[in-house]
Amino acid sequence: MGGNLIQFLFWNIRKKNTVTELVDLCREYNVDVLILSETEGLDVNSLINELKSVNEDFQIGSLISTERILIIHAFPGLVTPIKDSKHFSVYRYQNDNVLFLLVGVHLPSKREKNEKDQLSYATKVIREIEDLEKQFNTLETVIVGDFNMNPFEDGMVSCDGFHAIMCKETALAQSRKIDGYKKYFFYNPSWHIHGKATHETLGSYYYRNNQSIVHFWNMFDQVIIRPKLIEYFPLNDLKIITHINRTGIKLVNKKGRPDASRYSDHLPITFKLTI
Amino acid sequence: MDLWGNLNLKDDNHHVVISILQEQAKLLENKTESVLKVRLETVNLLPKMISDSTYPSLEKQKKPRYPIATNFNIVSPGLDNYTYTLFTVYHNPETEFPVELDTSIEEVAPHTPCDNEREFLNHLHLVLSSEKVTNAIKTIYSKSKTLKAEVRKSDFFF
Repeated sequence: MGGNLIQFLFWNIRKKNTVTELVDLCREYNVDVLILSETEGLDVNSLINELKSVNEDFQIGSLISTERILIIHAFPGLVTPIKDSKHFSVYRYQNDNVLFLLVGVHLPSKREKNEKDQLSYATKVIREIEDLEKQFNTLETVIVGDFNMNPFEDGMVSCDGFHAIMCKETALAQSRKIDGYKKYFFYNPSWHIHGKATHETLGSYYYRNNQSIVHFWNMFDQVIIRPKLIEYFPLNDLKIITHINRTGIKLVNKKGRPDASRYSDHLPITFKLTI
Repeated sequence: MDLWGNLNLKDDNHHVVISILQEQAKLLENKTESVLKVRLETVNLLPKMISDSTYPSLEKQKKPRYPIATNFNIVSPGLDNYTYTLFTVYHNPETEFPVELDTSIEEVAPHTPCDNEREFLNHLHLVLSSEKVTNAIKTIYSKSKTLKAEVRKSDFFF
């Protein structure tokens, strides 16, 4: 591998037609791969047309229309759709230097499912992804999207879930054995931007209610990578986006929380792979 | 001397839900002249460490309601085995019903419970005959066929 820089951007746009904002974001961050969820209200044709003014190679990745996950890319190489299902879509990205699987996820929300159900979903998704990794003989996988779980929750951390941990050095061991079962790690860099007081925002999603335990700021929108990709993942380039510099648009309201009335109740995240 | 009583596995090797899925799979393969295949993919949702856990009671709480998920996957051999999961049935291997049918098709609510065969067939019919499913299959079928034709054309020339 070497010589490629691939810029990703994920945003749960909450059924809003955010064509202008998406085009501005792609231009500002030189996005190569755009992953969206909740796209029911999005004018996709208009978005593609406008994105072509940023990069004429932009095209829809999906074979069939899926509103939960939509992937649009301008990747210099071969992109093959592998699998589409209700909660995730898998693509193989390949050129002379690179071969990796990209998984876009949108897992059920906490309004629909409890923590036990969410772990169960995580188990289902990860076992299907592991089967695809075996099929394509790769352990170079990026999973990005709205997990509807925080980095510390069971579905994210459990070895029966995504097994995505915060410690780079531990993850570099690739796997650990538990009761005779070899379980491969993911590295979850999203830990490092959740609750970081020196950043402009403490998470990607704000929620409050009257229950006894509320986190207020959540980091549901995450990227996790297999340890083999760690050296190609610049941690400082993983960002939660709160505003678009070139147009002055703020994606947060006066309180600094996601502006759900104008845009989305989630903030976009961006990151890159330098492979 | 046979001490196994009336154990006859040949007669009992019949799971209603799986048989229905297999029948629908064959029908689709015939309708598409095998351009599309159906693969029933079974995913075990039980945590692997459950029996050996240090905290068995805690782990028991996290045990899923239905330990098995069966995906109804449409596979296109012509499109590099591209797979589209049409729906998932969540079930228990020890009992026929209840099961849960999960799909993104609007005609059926997510995780629809089915208490018996009739309910399952009714909901499955709504899914399989929905406009969204018809359009999805038509799209995958047509792209698979186009690609197959292109490959044949290139075979002819080379």
